Amino acid sequence: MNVFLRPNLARCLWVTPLTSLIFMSLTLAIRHWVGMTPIFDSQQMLTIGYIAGIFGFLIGIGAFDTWFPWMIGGPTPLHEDHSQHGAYSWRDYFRFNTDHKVIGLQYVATTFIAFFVGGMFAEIFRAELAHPGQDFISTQQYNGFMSQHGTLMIFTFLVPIFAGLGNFVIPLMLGAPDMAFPRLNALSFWLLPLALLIFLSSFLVGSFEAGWTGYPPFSTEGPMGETLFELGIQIAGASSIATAVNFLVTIITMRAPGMTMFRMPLLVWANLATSALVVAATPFIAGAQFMTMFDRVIGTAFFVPSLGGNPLAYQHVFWFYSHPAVYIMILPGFGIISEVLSVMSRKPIFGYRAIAFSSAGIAVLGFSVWAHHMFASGMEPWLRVPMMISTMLIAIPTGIKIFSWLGTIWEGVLQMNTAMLFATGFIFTFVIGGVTGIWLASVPFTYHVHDTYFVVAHFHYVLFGGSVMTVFAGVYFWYPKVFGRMLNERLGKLHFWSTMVFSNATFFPMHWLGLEGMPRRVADYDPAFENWNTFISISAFCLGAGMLFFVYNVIHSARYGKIAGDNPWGGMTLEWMVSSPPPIFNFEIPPRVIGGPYRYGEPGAKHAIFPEEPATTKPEPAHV
Amino acid sequence: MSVHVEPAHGEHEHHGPAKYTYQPNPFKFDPTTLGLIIFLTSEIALFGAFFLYYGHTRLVKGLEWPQPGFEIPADATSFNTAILIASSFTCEMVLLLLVRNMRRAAIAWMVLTILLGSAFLGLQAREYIEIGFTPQTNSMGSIFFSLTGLHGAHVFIGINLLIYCLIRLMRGHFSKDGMVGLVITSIYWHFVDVVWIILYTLVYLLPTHVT
Amino acid sequence: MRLVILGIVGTVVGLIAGIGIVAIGFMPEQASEQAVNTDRVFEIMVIVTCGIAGLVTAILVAALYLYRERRGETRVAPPVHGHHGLEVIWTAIPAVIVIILTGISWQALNENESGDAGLTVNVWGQQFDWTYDYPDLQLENVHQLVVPVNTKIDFEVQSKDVIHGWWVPAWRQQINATPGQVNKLRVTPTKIGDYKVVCTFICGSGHPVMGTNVQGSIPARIKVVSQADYDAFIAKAQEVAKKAAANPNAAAVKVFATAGCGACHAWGPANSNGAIGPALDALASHPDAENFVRQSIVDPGAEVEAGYPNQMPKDFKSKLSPEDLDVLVKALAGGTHQ
Repeated sequence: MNVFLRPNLARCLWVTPLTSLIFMSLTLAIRHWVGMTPIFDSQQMLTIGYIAGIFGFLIGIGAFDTWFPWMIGGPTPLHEDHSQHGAYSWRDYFRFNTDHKVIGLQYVATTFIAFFVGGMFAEIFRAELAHPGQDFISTQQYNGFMSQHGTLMIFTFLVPIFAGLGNFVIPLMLGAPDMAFPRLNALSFWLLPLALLIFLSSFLVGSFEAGWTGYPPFSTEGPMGETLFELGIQIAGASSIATAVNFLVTIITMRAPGMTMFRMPLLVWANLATSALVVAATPFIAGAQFMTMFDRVIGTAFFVPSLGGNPLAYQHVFWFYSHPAVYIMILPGFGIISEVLSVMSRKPIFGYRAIAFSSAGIAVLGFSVWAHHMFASGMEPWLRVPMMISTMLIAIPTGIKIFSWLGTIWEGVLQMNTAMLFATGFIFTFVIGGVTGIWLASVPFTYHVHDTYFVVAHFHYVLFGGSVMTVFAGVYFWYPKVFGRMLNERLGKLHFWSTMVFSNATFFPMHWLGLEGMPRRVADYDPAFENWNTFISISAFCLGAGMLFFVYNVIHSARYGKIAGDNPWGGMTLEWMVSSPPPIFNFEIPPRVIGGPYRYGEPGAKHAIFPEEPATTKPEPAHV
Repeated sequence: MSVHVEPAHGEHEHHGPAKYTYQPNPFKFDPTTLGLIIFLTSEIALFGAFFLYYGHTRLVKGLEWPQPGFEIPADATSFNTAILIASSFTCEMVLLLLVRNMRRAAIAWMVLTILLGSAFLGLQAREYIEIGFTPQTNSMGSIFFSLTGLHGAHVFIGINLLIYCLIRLMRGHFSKDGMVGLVITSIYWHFVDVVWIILYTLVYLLPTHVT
Repeated sequence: MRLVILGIVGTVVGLIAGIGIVAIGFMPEQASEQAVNTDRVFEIMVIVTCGIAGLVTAILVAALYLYRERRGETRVAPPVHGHHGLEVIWTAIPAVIVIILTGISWQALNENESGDAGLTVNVWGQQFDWTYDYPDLQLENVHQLVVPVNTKIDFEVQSKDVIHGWWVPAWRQQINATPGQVNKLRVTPTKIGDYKVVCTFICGSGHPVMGTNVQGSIPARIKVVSQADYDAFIAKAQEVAKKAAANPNAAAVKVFATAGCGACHAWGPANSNGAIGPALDALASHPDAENFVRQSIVDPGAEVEAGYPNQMPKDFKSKLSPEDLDVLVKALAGGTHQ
């Protein structure tokens, strides 16, 4: 079949604009018929055009190719149809592919592109902020880069990267051939580059200036780019929810025989808790963005005070998602750390049940703290103290994890490779971020530092010094499994030390800048703050430069790295029991789990066997 | 990137995963139904976002409901509510009949369900035209139309799903032992009905001042 | 065993670091009662949590040093899965610490907001300046806030357009200005002096210049003065207000001040000296002055004076009522009456 008619990116090239044009014309026709003037409303055209384009793209890439015929009663060999599955050449990574290992890699590649683009934006505005006064970008441009930086980093990097890593690893860890809904999985992925493109294309219509938080009334006026921000979030949110449904059903229904809930690896527990969070919380930000989008595009009055509108309600709805979002961005990372620390210490996880339950606890408690982002917003005064209490309490399950990890590495046999360095470095920087979080839980203190560089320091410590470090730990840990080759250790260590030193250098001084009076989201500042800002900007450039070691390492080692073999780290979880890279359908013989996943140090103990093996392996004693 | 050497599709090689069995789980549903139920949780959350706006604006900000000079037609809409509730019963009849292998009766009740659902939508559309305010009039209009509109969109999707099921029912794709598609469609339809009952109670039946 | 010693050493080092941070003092001067209370809470939190961070860091670093795999290592790690006692301790102690920190914060919050205010001031945020009203004293649109020392003041913070954030670092108090609602903030200034005010909420292209000391900044420093000086200020301000009301340009000056034009433009009758945009006193000499002035207000981007930024808000057409717009245009175009 002709390349433009097969389901692939080439087909998207014409189906996408065609669908957009059809719906935009329809809108013009309806406006003319109903008598609305002017017939051409640029906001509406933009919105309809983009939404139609999204569906057009998905149709073009083949997302609905099996569902359409099934919906209208065609023959349904859905379960036996593997035509969209598997990677046989590099081309398979650029099409609608239902193999979770392909999807995982697609996710990681896309999210890292977002990471580097978002990082570039930060370097641009850090260059502007190196000295007071307006140097080379205007305040509007600054606001645009600042907003894009946060938006890209959160919605197209930190939230989906764990979906990607989990996509590759978790079905293997469970002993399953794939996820529960492989087609839905592929659809989830393809929504992500669309969201990224929507955000980036907003530069063409004036970008968006209201930060990643998009509070009205500022976000309901101003350049058209803001509408694209609102749309992009909903697409990214849909992707996230679909993946979460997939993870939940996979983890619940597709575990290898013998894998009871308490024999699951902690990464699985982490993704279970996270996916529950995603399902329950993400629709709230979708709702919030619906409301601001309606105010912008069709003139509703959600946030117009003179018509009974309520800007504070946006904040409640928005933060009801966005606080759980930060747990969505860290809990899977905690799971990765548990895996890495245990394997690299050749020691069982200390306090498995405590870590598992604390993940669930954080997920539940995480819904009760959202208004701590609103202490200085003028919200209902009676809500402040309850939110302060719940926020302080959430330190407890997090502390349990930190101490349990210390218990894991104490008296272990520590292999100090790059993955381990990132995992232990994470503990140091995350604790700093956690500590400033406890300070921010205090209402009187927050009245001083809210919306200042202190908060910027706090969240970069927990998101960069926290989540990003866990991402790197995970990449260095599972790269051999994905590519069958080891990453270069020297480059890895250079990358680690550069990241560790320069992230602290960049973000630590921000604490006192905030305490002393520098607000956030400003393109210019009091000259008294110049010296530290220059220092921070230089450190930020060095931090970015250090990433080049990583990029080179990843690309070079895929071809020239040392052959990894099935299990270079000596891990016990199921993914290390198959070849690197794994076979197309994961397990030629499905495994059987006979004990917990961290039975290091017990002679002859195993997590799982392949049923044809003789039963000389030691089964789990009953008490664990 | 890895390159796998796999036998060509035409050969009689095993193409597909090995035979897998799984650890039993406490939920009695099959994976597809479980997936739908989890997805419906996210839909509840989506309605929740709008209900949160509604609740905050009315309870914390004290917005009068309905705004002076406007009316929300609780009485007229009670008829719509009855239609939608009835359609849930007819939808359930489809399943009960199919389990007893009475396919033709099941098809009839399915047609009835679709008609009832469409009638609901039609009556809602008429209410939109006659209600006397728009989403742009004030925040009451905005949240009223958003909540009922979001629900209406879900009804529309539900009717689509019912139609696909009707087609597949007529083609004989469903049987006593294989009707997951019908089951999830009916669960979705009941969900739409329950959301409406909550919406109707909270938005239509609780004015600030009872006349 | 050595773990305990390590823990104690780490905690002590952390506590010392915390005390060091407090001693260096990263906060601005304490100019209010709220500052004293907040700093007290801050210092306790810093010291206690630095102790915990020191504990964690010490154990972490020690473990990495003591237990790293050496060449020819034959040691096997003990298969320890947990320890109930330890787990209870490290759940209970943080819980107690956190409850105590919550308690002291709650107490400080109550102290910060207790009692009845002796003065109420309205704070108005707009793009891109702050103005103040003294509602009980019939004073409006005051550009520089003057308040008496040692008085409990209730600031009622409001916005004319989008959300802004009113922050006085020296007072340690801040709250958003949200349109459609009134947000209350209590401050009891304790030190006479001039203090900077900062906008903390992203509000547009002028967000940075709503903070004092920033290049091109607009808001004036807040003055805390003695009771006597304050009374004198009020008396003088009321006199000026009376004179202004008798001024033929009074209505136009009111519109000018309410719309915040003075933040960027100098205009004699309004006593403003904003320098971001062109001065307005010579407008009468412009050919077709009335139309030019009207267009400059409702469509500022159409013609931007050379050397000035295209930063004037574009929504005055909808923000000003037709009557207000007419009054303003006539006064600006008709020449300044001194």
